[in-house]
Amino acid sequence: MDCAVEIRSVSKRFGDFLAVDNVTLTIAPGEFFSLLGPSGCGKTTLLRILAGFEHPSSGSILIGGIEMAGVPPYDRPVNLVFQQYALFPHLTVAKNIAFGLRYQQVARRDRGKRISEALEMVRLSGLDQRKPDQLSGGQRQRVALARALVLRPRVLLLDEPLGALDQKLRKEMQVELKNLQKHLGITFVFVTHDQEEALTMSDRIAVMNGGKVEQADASATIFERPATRFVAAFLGAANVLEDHTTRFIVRPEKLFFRPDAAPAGGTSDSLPVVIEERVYQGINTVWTVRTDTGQRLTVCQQNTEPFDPAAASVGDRRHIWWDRRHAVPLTEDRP
Amino acid sequence: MKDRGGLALLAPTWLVLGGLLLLPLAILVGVSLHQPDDAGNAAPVSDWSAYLHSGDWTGNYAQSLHPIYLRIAVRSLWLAVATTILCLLIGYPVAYKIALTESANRKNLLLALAVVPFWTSFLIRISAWRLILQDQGVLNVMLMHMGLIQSPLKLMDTPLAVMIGLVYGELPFMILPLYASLEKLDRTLLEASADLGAGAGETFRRVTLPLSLPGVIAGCVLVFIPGIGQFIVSDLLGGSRTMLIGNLIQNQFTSGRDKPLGAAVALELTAAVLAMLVAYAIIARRRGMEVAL
Repeated sequence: MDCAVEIRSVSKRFGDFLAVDNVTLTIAPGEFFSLLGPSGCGKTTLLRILAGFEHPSSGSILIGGIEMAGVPPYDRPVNLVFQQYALFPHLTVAKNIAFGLRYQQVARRDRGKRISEALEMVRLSGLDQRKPDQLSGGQRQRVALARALVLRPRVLLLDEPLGALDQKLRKEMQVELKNLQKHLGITFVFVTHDQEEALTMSDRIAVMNGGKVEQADASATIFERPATRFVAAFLGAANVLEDHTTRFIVRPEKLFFRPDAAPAGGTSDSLPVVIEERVYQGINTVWTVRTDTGQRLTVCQQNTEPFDPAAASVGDRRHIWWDRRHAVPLTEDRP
Repeated sequence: MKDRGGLALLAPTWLVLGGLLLLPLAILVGVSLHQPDDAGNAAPVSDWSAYLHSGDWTGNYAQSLHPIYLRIAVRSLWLAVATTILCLLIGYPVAYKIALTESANRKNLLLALAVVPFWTSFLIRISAWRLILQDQGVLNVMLMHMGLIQSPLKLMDTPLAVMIGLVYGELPFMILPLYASLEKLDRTLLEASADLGAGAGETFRRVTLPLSLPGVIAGCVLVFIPGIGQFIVSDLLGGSRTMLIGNLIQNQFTSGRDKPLGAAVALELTAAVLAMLVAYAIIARRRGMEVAL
């Protein structure tokens, strides 16, 4: 299959610090691909390597099948949407968007049309003569997006572009970005530390930690079949349980309370616990429970019934049950 | 009550401005309207209404437009303009290098080096240039030793020497504001420019230069204004033939013994510089630029 982006054994070293550690990934054309991980995990460095601002210490990058070593940022078929947008403060919205067009083979008379199309696409028509400091955060974000998309890059790189927006706007932009990406069919490589954002928008996600890719899979697979303890923990609190031989995880929302232990030979397993804490969160109630071996686990249940203060309260003894299908063995757990 | 408190807070400012700027300026205006007496001071006027009527009060201004003085004014203007341009051409790369390519420690060191000359008196530093530029000076001796020239170059007491002195003296005033504006420049804008397809030259022309324009303007103003009024450099390095408007004014107050004429020329120079600044501010505002004066 033809790849939009191929990352082959790429490492990046800053002095003694290994920011990216032997990463190999392929990203398909038209894919919405997210690099997810905590700050300092190497995701932004990897993105900057794709953009051409950093050079890999070893390994190689292919974009559209072409080796990118020695190709400067201004000659790469990619564009980057910067975290703080990096709009030119001395230029109007229209001139910001027009900035890159003169380096492409776009006739002068077509530029105006391309600019107004781009403005329409991000729903900013009519603001073309404003300066960046006369725009709201969300509008600036859209200008940054339009400035990159007007060049019709093969791959659009986005470095936490929604990080500076407030929660509500962020949710709206997530949907809007995803729709835009589907509509344009451009490959998006999206860097974020927000697992919910990654799950909402991505076709596939690579979870990074300490410069390494822990797991790269479809969004649902990442969430439901995490390969490592880190991935499980990073995508929402996960309970790690131990059998005699294997370790496995069960997500808090897959656990539920029963008065008695699960019968042998059924489809479920169970553990006796004591309830230590109960937090009512509106949509959910979250309990912290302790097993007989002293291990603390999290149970999360949606509040589908009216709130009952007497149900499963602190100090009660209960059994937690889970369906064996929801017990995910940790295959490649690192020490 | 509140207003009185505000006025009280402004009092020191007005005291300084009034006592050290407006009052001397008013005295200068007064002096410029008089005729000189034998000692060169303003001669007392016995009958003001007859004096004003006679038109003699404009005499100093009329005299200042004599072709000899105009030639001096033009020479001063072009030397100041040339100095400003040279300082910009030399200072910009220096400020750019310090602000954008050096580590924090080296930045401070290099900036300190740019300011170090201020620790020595300007007079002494300019006198030192005599030792470099004179016929048997360091530069000529060195060039002759290297065999590049056979006889000493005539550098001392030429307009070139004055320009070298002016550029040397004013350069830090160009570097510092340029550094300040380049230092503020957001590096990610340079990356954004590269990402959008612009090479290094285009990025400089379309991003770096326009965004450092306030520094360029501040530097030019700081170099041009002292440059056009300079008299020490031309006195020490220019000899008798490179008289500038600053020397003209100074002479009238000292050996020339015509304080009223000196006052008139000084006021004309002040007015001309003010007019240039106002013109710049109007043009800049019309173009929607921020005026940082």
